Amino acid sequence: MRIFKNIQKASIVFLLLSLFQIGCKKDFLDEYNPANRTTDNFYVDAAGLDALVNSCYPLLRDITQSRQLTLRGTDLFTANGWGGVFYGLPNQDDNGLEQYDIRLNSTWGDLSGYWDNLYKEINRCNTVLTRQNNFVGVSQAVLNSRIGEAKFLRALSYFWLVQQWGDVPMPLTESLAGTLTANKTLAKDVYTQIVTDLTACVATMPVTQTDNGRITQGAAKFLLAKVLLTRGWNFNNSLGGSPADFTAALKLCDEIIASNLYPLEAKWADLFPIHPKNVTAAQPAMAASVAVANVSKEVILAVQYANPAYYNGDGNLDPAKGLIGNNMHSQFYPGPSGIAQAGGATLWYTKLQGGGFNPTWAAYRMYDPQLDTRYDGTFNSVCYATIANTTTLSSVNNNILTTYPAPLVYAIGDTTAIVMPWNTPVTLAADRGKNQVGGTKKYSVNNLSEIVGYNPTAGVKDNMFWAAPMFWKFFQPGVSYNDGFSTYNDPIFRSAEVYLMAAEAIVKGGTGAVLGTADVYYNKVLDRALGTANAGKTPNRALNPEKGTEDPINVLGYRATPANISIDMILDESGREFLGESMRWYDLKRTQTIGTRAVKYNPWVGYGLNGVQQFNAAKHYLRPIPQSMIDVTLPKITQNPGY
Amino acid sequence: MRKILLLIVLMCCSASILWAQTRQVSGKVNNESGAPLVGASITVKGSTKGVVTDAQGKFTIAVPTKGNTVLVVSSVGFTNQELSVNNQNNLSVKLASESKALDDVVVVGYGSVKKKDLTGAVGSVKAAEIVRGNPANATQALQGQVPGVVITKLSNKPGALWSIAIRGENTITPDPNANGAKNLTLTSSGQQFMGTEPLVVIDGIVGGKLQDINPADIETIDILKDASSTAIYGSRGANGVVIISSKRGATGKPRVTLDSYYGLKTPAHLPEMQNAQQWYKTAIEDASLNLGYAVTPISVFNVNELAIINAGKSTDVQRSLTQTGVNTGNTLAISGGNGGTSYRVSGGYIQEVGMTPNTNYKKYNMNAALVSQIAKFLKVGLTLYENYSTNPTGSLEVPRTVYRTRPTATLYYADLVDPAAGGDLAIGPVNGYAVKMGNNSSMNPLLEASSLANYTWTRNVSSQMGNGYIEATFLKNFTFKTSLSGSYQLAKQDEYRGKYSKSINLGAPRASVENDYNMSYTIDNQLSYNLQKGKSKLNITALQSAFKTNTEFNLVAVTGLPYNSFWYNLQSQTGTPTIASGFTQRQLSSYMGRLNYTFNDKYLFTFTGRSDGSSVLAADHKYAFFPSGAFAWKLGDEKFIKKIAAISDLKLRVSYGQVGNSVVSPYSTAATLLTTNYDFQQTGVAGLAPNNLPNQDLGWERSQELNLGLNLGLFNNRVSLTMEVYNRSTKDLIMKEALPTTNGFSSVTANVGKVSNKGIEILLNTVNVATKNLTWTTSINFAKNINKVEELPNGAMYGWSGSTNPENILAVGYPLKSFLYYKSAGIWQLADSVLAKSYGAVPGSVRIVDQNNDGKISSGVLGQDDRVILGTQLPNFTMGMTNRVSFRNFDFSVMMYYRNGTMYKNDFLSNYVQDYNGGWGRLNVNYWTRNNPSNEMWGMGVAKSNSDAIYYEDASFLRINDVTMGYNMPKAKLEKLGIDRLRFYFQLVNPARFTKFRGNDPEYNGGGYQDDFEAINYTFGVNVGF
Repeated sequence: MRIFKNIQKASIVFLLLSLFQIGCKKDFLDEYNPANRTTDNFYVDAAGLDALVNSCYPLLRDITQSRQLTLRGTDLFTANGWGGVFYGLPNQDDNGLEQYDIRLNSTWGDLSGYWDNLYKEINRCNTVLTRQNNFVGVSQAVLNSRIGEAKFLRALSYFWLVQQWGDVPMPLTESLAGTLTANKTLAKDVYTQIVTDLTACVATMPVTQTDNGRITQGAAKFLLAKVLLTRGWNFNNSLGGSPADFTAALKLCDEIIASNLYPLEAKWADLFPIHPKNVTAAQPAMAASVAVANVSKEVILAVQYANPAYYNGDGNLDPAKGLIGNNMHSQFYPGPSGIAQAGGATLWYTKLQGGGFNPTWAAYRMYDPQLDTRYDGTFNSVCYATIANTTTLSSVNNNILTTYPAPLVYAIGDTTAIVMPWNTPVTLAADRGKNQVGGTKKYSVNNLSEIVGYNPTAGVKDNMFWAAPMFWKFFQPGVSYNDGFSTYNDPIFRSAEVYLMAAEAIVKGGTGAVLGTADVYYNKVLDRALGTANAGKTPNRALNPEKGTEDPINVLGYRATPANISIDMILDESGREFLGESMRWYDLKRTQTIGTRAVKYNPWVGYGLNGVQQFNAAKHYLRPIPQSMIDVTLPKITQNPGY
Repeated sequence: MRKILLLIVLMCCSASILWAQTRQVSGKVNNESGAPLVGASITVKGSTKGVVTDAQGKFTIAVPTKGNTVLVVSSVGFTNQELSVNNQNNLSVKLASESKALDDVVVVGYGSVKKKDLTGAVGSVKAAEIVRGNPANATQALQGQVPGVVITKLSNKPGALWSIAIRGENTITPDPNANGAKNLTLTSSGQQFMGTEPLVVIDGIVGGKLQDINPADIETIDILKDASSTAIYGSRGANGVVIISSKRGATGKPRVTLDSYYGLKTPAHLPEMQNAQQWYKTAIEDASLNLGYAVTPISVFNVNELAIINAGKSTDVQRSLTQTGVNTGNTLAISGGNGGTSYRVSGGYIQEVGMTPNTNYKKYNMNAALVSQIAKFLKVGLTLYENYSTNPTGSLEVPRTVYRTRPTATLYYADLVDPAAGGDLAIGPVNGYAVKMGNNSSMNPLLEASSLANYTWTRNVSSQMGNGYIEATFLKNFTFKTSLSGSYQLAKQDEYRGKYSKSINLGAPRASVENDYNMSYTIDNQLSYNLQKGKSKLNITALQSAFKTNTEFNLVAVTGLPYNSFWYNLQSQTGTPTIASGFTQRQLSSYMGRLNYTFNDKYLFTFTGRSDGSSVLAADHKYAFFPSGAFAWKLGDEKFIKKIAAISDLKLRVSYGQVGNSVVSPYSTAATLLTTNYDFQQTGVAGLAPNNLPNQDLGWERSQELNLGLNLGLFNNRVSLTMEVYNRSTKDLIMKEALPTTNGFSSVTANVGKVSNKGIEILLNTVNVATKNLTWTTSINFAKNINKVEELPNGAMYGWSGSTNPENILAVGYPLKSFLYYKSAGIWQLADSVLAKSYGAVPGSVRIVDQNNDGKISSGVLGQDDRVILGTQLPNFTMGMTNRVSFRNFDFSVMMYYRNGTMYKNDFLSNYVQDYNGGWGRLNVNYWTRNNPSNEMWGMGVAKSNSDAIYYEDASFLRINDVTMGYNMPKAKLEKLGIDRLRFYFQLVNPARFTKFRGNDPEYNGGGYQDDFEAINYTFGVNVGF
């Protein structure tokens, strides 16, 4: 018996000895990864190709939302951080983006963010192009489109890079191992590559795509036209441009117009969601208006944002970790709703999340508030209570009562504050709110001129938060406060701009225009904005939009004639038409007008450092290479001049 | 194989035959002074047969009738004695006590040695020290006990984890998943352990978790520090090894022990916040003075706030909110055994009740251990741990919202002067609370914390660990042991945020559920050979080991719940749910050989070689070989030292070893895919981009360490000193090498960089007084570690992505976790106002040192701008001291801990030194004003460019960890009751601490989120043994 028992016990030893094998198996150390695949075993067929090309799109969201680099420091948008001047300090607490001072240097974070995203995008496109022969079971037509999409997005990324930084490194193949080398390619060679890629796109891309939002031949033509127009200006004689570029750009614009694939919307407002007073009641109509605006034929290319939000992925993050969504509704100026101090007042229309892009006061005065439909479409002058509340008024006006009367009771939909257009200010005390001496209105009433604005000696009196109309062009109703994103697609190319590009090409000497002289192209855009009732009329902007003191006296008409058409006028018009849409800095850089327009219209650019204007055309038309690049390159990548 | 089996069977049979004829002999065992020794064991030499002495020190044992039998008499703390039975029937033995400390057994991994035979650097902590402060987590018990082991509190929240770093930080990769099974060790406050956590081995369970074991179950904790000691554990021990040996049963009658304590804790050492009147003075009077124009009260305070100020009242939310916390624990254990089998079973319950409402941590432990010599050649053992903990927490916002609430807040709706003024009118009273507190604050913390129905966060962890082994002795001097240890853990984390929580802010509730699973096992096959010949002793161990772990998680978070359903009705949501899941797995395969050779019991050699294979490294770089060796010379046993009467013990040790580390997330060597979806006109499409650069060359991170050790005993070991000096350098660090982003990626995981740790550790134990009635002993330990980044890829420094502070960087020549920022030189004073203006500052602003004297404060490149390395989070040195006094039946002990040189950017300052119009509570520090030239904090209303430079503070502190007074009932009285031991004690935990760090607990850096208040514990405890 004992023998038997011991055999039993010994057999346990054998059992355990057999476990020994677990560690000895040859494949024991192979990695098991059921949750993910690798580039090499996934990018092999049609599904892999589609998923890879699709992944080149979401970064457009990150890149186009880098508005610091494309809106700030221009003539139309300015920062909200006015504390520095308020306290009489040499600098405001800002990053120098607008003051063009020493703080605008290589360590500035938004700079590297933009740079990094563009190169990340380029590497994704390069992955498509490097592996283009590896995908089996894909039709030639689909392959042509996918290769074209990759080439287009790469060209677009390089176009943004070369405008911001000039000479830049230009990798054209997928990164498979890290390299510390990043040698610069001359800007003119980058342009040559861009033109080559886009020319190929124009030749092979489909005219339409079943997926609305994919790159088409039309988008390639638009971009090529803009690239050629930019090269024609031949910044610093470094782009390899020539006058022939303007003619080529003009020809492409005329082709786009003649194709009739992208007709102008009859009503400018139809390009955007509608903006009702009572958001709750009008929800269905508003949601429908977003869907309509999203499929407008005028839009040649829009960065897509979807519902369900799961697809609103940040191009840098797994959607489980981060969503980006369209934030256009939340990045711009929230208006005077704070005056009503009701938590649910109009402020929440815009859900300001901190982008803090405030139009300069000059921007408001560029419009004719009565004739030009774009004024009311872009700005909301009247604030409404969106919840019932009991609160007091406050105002920017100096003439405030020292002791406030009883708090006011608001019902949903009641007006809480208004800002008068620059050319129709209130003058009578009785037209003011009850918070002011002699005021009778139950809401706060402010004149645009009460934004005291930039004053080199006295500083600003107060910040603009109180007294300028809210920017509500991209407002989308029904997005919840915490994690809602707008599903309005961001139109980055629309055919109205084709007309203005053509006008610019003609002014710069381009020949062969189909429609006529430059003013003809310009007035097409203007007349659509005036609407059928006012088409042909001459709207007025302020003569000196940077000065509130002349309201409403000195004005200037902005209808184009063969005699008055100029680059400045075209820039005014693109400002009105595309406020917040266009990446304004690129327009000013291309036309070299920061030194004239931004210095004049943007208080901070003019204020500079301690009141001394700092913008330097020899330096600031190129951005500094990010310090993070300089730190890790071998040999060190050279910094742009002046930084 | 069959032959061997037959042989084994034959050996068994013959052994049985030998025991056929026996007779009984009896005897008595006494100590040197003649008192009977209870529980001494008597065995027949050459057999496993044995008995233990009874309460009178008497024993009876069967011996063979034939031949001369030799009995071995042994007892813990006494020298073994052998005696020949011959024909005697009644024996008397006197055992001599030995110098106990040196004969303690130290577990060194796959074996154990006597302390006097150690060749490496090993620290030990015994049961009494582990439970002295009644910690809920055994990690806490190690603080200040072992030099070179830095234990840091991560939060005051009940159930919070503690971090461990042994001999500094050897690796940089701050990847919480890097060590496989560690992804579950995130603290409740979201702070992550770095890749510097040591390997924990609990009763052979490799990769156990310290927080899962009941401290009362632990017999000893041994900490392997130097590379030669950890070599046996290979890469898994790269950051040191903590070996837990739990209490075991001893042969004899069943013993029952009960350890219970109950303690109350009250908030203590709290930051001093301004009251309403101080707030008013600072905001109105000080600000007006500094600004040069009058700040009107109505611009800062509304009518509700002014009413409180004018009435001379002040709101102390903290007092209204806190409750008395509880710390309690009970452990019941039964142990015993007979024949060749011993057992121990224990059950324990630990509870910590927080001082913030609805915060509770409960832990239930069961532990069973069985060891049986089932045959002469075969031993089996089994250990099982079963743990469950639950940690419901009311609101994670407390105590942060408490500090954020201004002292001018109105807590109850009925007390509001004007409900409309702060927006309360529109909401109305909720359970009597004023939701916006009369000043439009975020939510009222009393309301937020008042009910689990408003905000609940809970984490339930269930964990099983076990180890089983079979050990066979065969042929001559060979032992084979095979052991399997495994663990399985499920952590479930749920959260519900209701309408009146700060984050929901009157919106629709949100809920989430997260499940984390972790499974791991280790199989060890160990073959040992022992030989003793003449003056030589030889032990050879060969080991094969395989380890596998996988982790899995899934998560669902929803928003827009229509009503409170906690996390049990997620489908009622109306928002956009977040869904995620994941899986990772890693394996290790190792082969190891160790040779111990001792000559003349004076010269000890250890050589270890280990080949480690890791699944996470690149195909051709999975395996690497790591050698180590150590030598110890027991100088004290040499004649020329023995002549010196004062020296009772002297040993010199030297060791050198290499260890590897594969501290990198699985799948790092391949280019994986990043999910980045897009849509085309509202139709979602899958987007999968390359996620990372692959690295086909990724290999082992390799450390080498030289350790010199000294053990010195003086005056019959009344004074004993252990000193270690070490130099460790780690190269081929696995970290993210920064790349130019023109690669499309900002980094690649690669073997780059080098870091070093040099240090000294001293442990000094003295017996200051030793008389019959009074003993006083002191134990002091000191450790200093110098950490330095030696090399970085391509350049001198770069930002460390794992840091929670953006200024936290890596720089060659400086320690890890350094801060690069502007240096504060205090506050600009009125006399320097012209100079201040040139820097964009005004009197009262923080004065930044213009390092390069260029007249401006700029950032840019290190060395070319004004930022400097200010300090590091790593401590300069740490010290612990324990004094124990026992007088007759009373015992008294005090333990102190001192940490020097840690720097933090003080979260408390950056949050709660509010400007005059700030919306939060304000820390009461010495703010500058035009009449008060303080150099300690900026003034109200001044410009604050880079003012956070003044928030970088030295967080050195001295803490009285605990003071304990105990009383042991005299044995004579207990015997009548049938009780072996009965002790009562009273204890104060954290009665005092001293620091210059302003604000919160200096031990960690917290702004109050997911935390609790610091406290003093008043504990009463009892230990009973039957």
